[in-house]
Amino acid sequence: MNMKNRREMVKASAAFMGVLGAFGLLGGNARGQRLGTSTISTSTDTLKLIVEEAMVTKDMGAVLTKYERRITPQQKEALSKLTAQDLNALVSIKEKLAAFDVNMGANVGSIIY
Amino acid sequence: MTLQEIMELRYSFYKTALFFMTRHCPLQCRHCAVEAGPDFQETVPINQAAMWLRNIEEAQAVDLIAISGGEPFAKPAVLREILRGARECGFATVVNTSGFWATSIDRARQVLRSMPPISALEISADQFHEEWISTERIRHAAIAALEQGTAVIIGTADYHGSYKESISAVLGDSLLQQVEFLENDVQAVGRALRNYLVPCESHDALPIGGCRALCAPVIRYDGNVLACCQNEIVYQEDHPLWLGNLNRERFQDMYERANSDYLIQALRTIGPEGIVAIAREHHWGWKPTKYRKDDICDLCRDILASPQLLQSFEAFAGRDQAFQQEIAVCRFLKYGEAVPWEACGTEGNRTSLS
Repeated sequence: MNMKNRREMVKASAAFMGVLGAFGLLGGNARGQRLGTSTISTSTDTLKLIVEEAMVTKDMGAVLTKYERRITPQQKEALSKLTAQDLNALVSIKEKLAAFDVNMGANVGSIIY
Repeated sequence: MTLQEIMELRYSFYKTALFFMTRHCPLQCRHCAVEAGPDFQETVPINQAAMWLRNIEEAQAVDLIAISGGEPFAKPAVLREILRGARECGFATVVNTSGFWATSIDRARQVLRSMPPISALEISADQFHEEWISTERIRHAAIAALEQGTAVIIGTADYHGSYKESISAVLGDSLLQQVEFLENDVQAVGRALRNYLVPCESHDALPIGGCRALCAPVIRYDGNVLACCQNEIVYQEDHPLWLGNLNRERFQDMYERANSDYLIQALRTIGPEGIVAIAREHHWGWKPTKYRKDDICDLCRDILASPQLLQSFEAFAGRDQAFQQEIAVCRFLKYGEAVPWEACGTEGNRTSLS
């Protein structure tokens, strides 16, 4: 990854921290809790839905309107701060992470190793 | 329990614990990653298995216990105790076996009926196991397991078309519709490495990728808990991926340590190559050599063998907000996970590159 991309990634990550915080997915709220607890799962699922859709449409405003009833005003505010550039950088990060798992199809992998 | 459900648990952080209950195995396969065999007797002490499982249950993280060895069915009394303990704790169970015990369908029924219910049986079947046991036994084990409501997964290393043809012929159409296949590579470790069953040429290109295997901790027959599944390498108590011992401490503490450990989380997300990139960027003086193609374990072992590099990384990771933020975002995007560290607040914090 070149330095320009890395800077964008770092910037997008910093912007996204506010979002994770607003959804209770950072620090105190998440620490020591089973990741599968309903609160954490619901927050994660909602955020994944919104971010996945915004990464495709690049129109966070429209996505927030669609999911407004499922999130708090604070969560909406944090998400609305993500710029199109941030979303593009998140797409790049996600693609890079997915590229790492090229051989990991549904029937490929190992239970034990 | 379907293969998809198992794999979802396998690749969610600490939803699965891998229980290597014995190193004993009646077979001695050429590719065995843990070099199990008939001469090894190391096994979980039978009176400790249930205690360890209760310890794991108290953390309320794990949902599935994947039992392997060696050969779990070679120590039936211990396996029975583990399955009983797992059932009491509410864990689903997968048992990994060669099916050596299924000498006939009746014998297979008898063996499985003597055990508490098993959610899924993963039968290892490939050209290496075939050198020791007949494919017929896989059929016997599959039939008996399905009769008892146990899901059957055929796990195959280095899966080739010719082997699939031969095992498909033995299983028959009806069984083939009821079992699932899981394809996995021969691991470049243990006998597979010593017997040159994996490509050994080294390359300049660094293997890239985050380690998904680190999603599940390994419980060894001696109570040691390791973050890495290559448990015959990571067995020393001073190894950076050694988490603790179930006889001496709570699994909850080990879980929380692993969950907040920057090294483990970096290896899961940006991978060992990401750590090399950080080392280069900050001029720590550590230089990679050559590694087997696409083998992130090869690079990871090299990194973990350098105390100086690990010391630099630990100091960096603890203070660098940009790094912590990247890992938090990568964990969310890759695994849908929350992170336990405050991760340096919100936007506008210092970053190493801005």
